[in-house]
Amino acid sequence: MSDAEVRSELPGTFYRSPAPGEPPFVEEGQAVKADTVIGIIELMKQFNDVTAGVAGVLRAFSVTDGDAVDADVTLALIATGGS
Amino acid sequence: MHHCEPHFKPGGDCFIEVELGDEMSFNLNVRVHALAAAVRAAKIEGIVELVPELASLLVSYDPDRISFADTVSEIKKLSELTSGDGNDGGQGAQEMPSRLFHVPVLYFDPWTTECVDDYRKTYPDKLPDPELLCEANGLPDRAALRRVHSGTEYWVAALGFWPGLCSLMPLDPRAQLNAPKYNPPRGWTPKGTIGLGGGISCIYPDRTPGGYQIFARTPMPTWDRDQRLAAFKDSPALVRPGDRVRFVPIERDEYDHIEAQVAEGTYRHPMVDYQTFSIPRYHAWLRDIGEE
Amino acid sequence: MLEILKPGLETTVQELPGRIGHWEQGFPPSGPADPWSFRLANLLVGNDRDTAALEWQFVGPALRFHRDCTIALTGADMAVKLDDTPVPLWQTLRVRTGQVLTCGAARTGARGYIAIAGGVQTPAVLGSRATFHMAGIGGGSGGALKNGERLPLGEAASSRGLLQVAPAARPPIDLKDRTRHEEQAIAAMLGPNDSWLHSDAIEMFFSSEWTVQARSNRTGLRLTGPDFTFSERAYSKRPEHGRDPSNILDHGYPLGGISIAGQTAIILIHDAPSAGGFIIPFTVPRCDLWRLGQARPNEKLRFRQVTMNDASAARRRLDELCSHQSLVDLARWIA
Repeated sequence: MSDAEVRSELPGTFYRSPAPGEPPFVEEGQAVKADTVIGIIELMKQFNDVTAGVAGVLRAFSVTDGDAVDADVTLALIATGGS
Repeated sequence: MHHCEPHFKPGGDCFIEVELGDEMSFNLNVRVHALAAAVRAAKIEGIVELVPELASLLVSYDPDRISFADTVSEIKKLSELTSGDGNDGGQGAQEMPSRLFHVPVLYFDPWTTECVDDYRKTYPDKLPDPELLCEANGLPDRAALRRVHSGTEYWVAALGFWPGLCSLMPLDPRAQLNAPKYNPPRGWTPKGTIGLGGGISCIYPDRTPGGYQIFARTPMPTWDRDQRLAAFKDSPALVRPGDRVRFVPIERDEYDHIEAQVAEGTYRHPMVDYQTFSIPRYHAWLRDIGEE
Repeated sequence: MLEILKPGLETTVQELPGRIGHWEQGFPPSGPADPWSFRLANLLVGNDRDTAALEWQFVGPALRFHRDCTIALTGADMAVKLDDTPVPLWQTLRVRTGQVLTCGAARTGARGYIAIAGGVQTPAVLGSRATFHMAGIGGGSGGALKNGERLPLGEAASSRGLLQVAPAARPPIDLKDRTRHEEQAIAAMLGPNDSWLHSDAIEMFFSSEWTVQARSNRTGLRLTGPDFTFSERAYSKRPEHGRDPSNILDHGYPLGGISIAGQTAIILIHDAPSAGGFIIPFTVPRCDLWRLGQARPNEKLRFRQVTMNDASAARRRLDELCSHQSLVDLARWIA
């Protein structure tokens, strides 16, 4: 089993849900596709989708909802299966 | 209070805030405009542009062509020439050309009502704006609010904060209304909304956040990014500081008719451009009505 | 002609001196947020240093060139490729018809510039090609560049050869390049409304760390930091100023002004509102506006107090750096 890292493209504030009070985009352990939105990064008053980038199972998030993140930081780990 | 002499404060190395006083009044604002007009007419080498506001003038200058000290000295000289307010027999600005816009307004329209209701879902303690305005100003009902608000000409004291957003001061002091601002502000306001905050009225040029109390709407655009309509030939923003505005109450059918003309591109703004505003006669009128 | 394949986060056409003469109707000057990098990009391609060029923010665009071009990229460090080949920043590049420039994300700093010989020739609005995105003014279609948009280019002046900006003449965007004392903290002058702050608050401002909030953008840089205390002036004022000590009668907002809204410091940069009702106790002078344009979310900023003379000297030094004397002829170094 190999893990792919989802890395942030932008600096900003990372959120797990589309808006406060709403359910998160995905839960840990959920199956995802390459274009599944797993979170958003708020920057310059705009919200930018973060996609999984690979198909697999989202094993764990490396950051928490509301965390300040820089660019090129690991946001989540995706188990892609196969070697 | 009007300062005896303007106060000059640097805003970095390329800007100067010229403060003429610290009150919100027509007399003081007219002095700001007179000073701005005099500075423009003097064509001082190195002064780039001016932003006249309620009681002050922001001066943008090129420090490689004129120094801070020389800019201050030139403007000080001009302010001595323009400091009379026409009321004391001084040499100040007597008359200035002033366009007048007749702004058709539907008071207590459904769209501002909807916007206020939307805010009150999150902040239920907020009094609906028309009621808040009546209470804050000792008016018995909405009809009185409409009568008072539309019963005066307004002076465009400044534009700012958002492109095309005007700050309007009532020229008849008997029509002065006051209101607190929203806290926290609204996230949106319908385009064309008439707002009132502090002692100033405004016309929202576009759908923007805002903090003034809202209670009416005009179908007449004050902002046209693509400059389609005739009135926007020179700028996407309609009004300029020194213009005047009069709110003309209309009913819903006329609102819809004007809106259709705007959509078709045929709407002609009701604007009068053959008048000059006489400051001494304005002061004489204020004395006549016992307001000076 | 230039085709926009991917617009990046918010990429706009900008030029200097920006939109002048319409501020009193609420149109800010706009223009490049890092004028230092902007001017050097233009000089690298043989343009007048104030010519219209592209400004990208955090994520750069992907562009296809529909004619042979000379271009240069400056500003925030990022990985950029011409077709499949990585190319450097701070240097003249030759592009052939049909080639695609693909930009990455800013590794340090926030904004970068792409200058093309001949300049970007979108229509001027109210006298300028500078873009005020919030109101849809300027740019090819009104505002930031969109997918598929095509921008006209001007005729290039005769080529100046392959040039590079000497490393010592580049703005120290990366923290590790800020070796000189005056590069650590951002210059700020007192005024116009410093008399509204308690003297303790002024001292506190210059000795504290201020964190750049992620929602900062060209309309304002929002900072998180300690609370301000106000002087008597802020409390004994006529009611029309407003109730909060940071409220003042609406006044014009200078470019670089550091406003206090309630307890939040918001620095007014190139697309900021023209006026408002909050005090401005400090203003960043022109020499350091580029620092604001390169401020990154979560970056910790410090400010140092400077006089008018300091600011003037620094402005003149920067003006000299934004000239041909900062360029090195690469062809000399080819064996």
